[in-house]
Amino acid sequence: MSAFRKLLLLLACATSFVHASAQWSPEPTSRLVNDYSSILTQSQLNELETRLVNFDNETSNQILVVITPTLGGDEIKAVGQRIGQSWGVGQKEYANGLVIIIKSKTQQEPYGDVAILTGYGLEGALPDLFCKKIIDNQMVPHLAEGEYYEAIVEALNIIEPVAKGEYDYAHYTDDYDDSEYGIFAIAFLLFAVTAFIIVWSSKNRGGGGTSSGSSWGAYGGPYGGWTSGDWSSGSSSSGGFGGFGGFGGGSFGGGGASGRF
Amino acid sequence: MKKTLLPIVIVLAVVAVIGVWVTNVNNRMVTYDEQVSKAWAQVENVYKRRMDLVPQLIATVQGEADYERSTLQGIVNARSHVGQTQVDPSNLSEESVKAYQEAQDQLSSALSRAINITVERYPTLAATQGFRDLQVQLEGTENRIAVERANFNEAVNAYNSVVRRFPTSLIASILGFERKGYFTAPAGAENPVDVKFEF
Repeated sequence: MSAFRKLLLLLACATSFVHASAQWSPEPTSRLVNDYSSILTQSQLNELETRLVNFDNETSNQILVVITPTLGGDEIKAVGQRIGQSWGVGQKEYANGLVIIIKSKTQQEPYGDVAILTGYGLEGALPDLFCKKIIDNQMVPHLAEGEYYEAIVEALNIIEPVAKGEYDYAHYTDDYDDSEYGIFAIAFLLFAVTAFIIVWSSKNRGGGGTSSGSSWGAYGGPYGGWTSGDWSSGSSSSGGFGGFGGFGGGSFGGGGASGRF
Repeated sequence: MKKTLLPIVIVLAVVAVIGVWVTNVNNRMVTYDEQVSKAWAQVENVYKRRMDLVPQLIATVQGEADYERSTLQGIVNARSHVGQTQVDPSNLSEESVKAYQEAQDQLSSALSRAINITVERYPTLAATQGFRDLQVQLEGTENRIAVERANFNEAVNAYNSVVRRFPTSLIASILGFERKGYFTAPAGAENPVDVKFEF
């Protein structure tokens, strides 16, 4: 009996080992933005990288962004947690790392997944529910439109001040919850803007509509090279990509949330 | 004079080497033992976190007047079973870890059953903000449980390998270090979170 149990245990260990080795887990890089799906343009990559490196230098909070076409058949939060842990995102003593992982839509899988994983140290500031709301309110609407860059930027606009302690869940729920209220607000805003435009255009005809939409969409092209570095004026503190001092050995306990788009 | 001294020196040297080795092994095992205790504390933490969510889930589904009684009863029973199955952290034997896991897994399946039934049969309840928030929290907790269980297994693995492997196993048995239990993954081990909360 006991021999049989031992055999079973051994078998269980062996199979779990096989699974462990089959898990998708990319090798650590020396960058905070890793786009394995090649979705972001070079200038978007640079922009994000600079922003995150600066944030790391400023606050020691490390935010890793991963965009991948595959999860190796695994659940997205498990993959994100593993990457955060094995790369060591965040400082060891504060565990203040965060992973934003997006599985892009592919031809085989017509849906995408997104998850935010918090290091132990950020679980208090960013509880699962908060992560879920950020995913639902800030990320999924953009991701569904294929706007990966905007989704990440919008999420960072919330996460960064929260990680710094300048913003919190209570304020967030005031600002963004509930969805019905949000829709009304957007509808009202749309109405007001439309009304304004109609009034405006009827007042001064011939002025020519100056449309200011889609400014960056056409922007990405020219900045192909690494050297052209278009990180704009303000961010002088870090010397480009060299500024990232490497991952700090932070640990992750599986906190966070995920969503589908 | 010289001839009698040499064997004594050799014996002393051997004793000293063995002494250093035993101390070394002992220290290593104490370190590993501490890591196991730490990992266990984390495991208990995340399971407790889940326990704290149970009353909330019960209150939420009880709001539905005709909510299936057997499902609710399943949660209540599993919860009291977990409450009775406490483990002494200084005695993490294979039996006690197994009993603990069985009780917790029973609660896992009771909870996931309740969630699934709610989503399938009580769409109005499933659509409420309160229920969806609860789902997110439960999902996050299950995820944490999976992580901490894996961490615990890793710590036990390091510890057990010293306790079991010759020649350190000799010292371990003399000093009274006993092997510790693992969390075993049930069938479908690759995905410990069998609670799928997609919505």
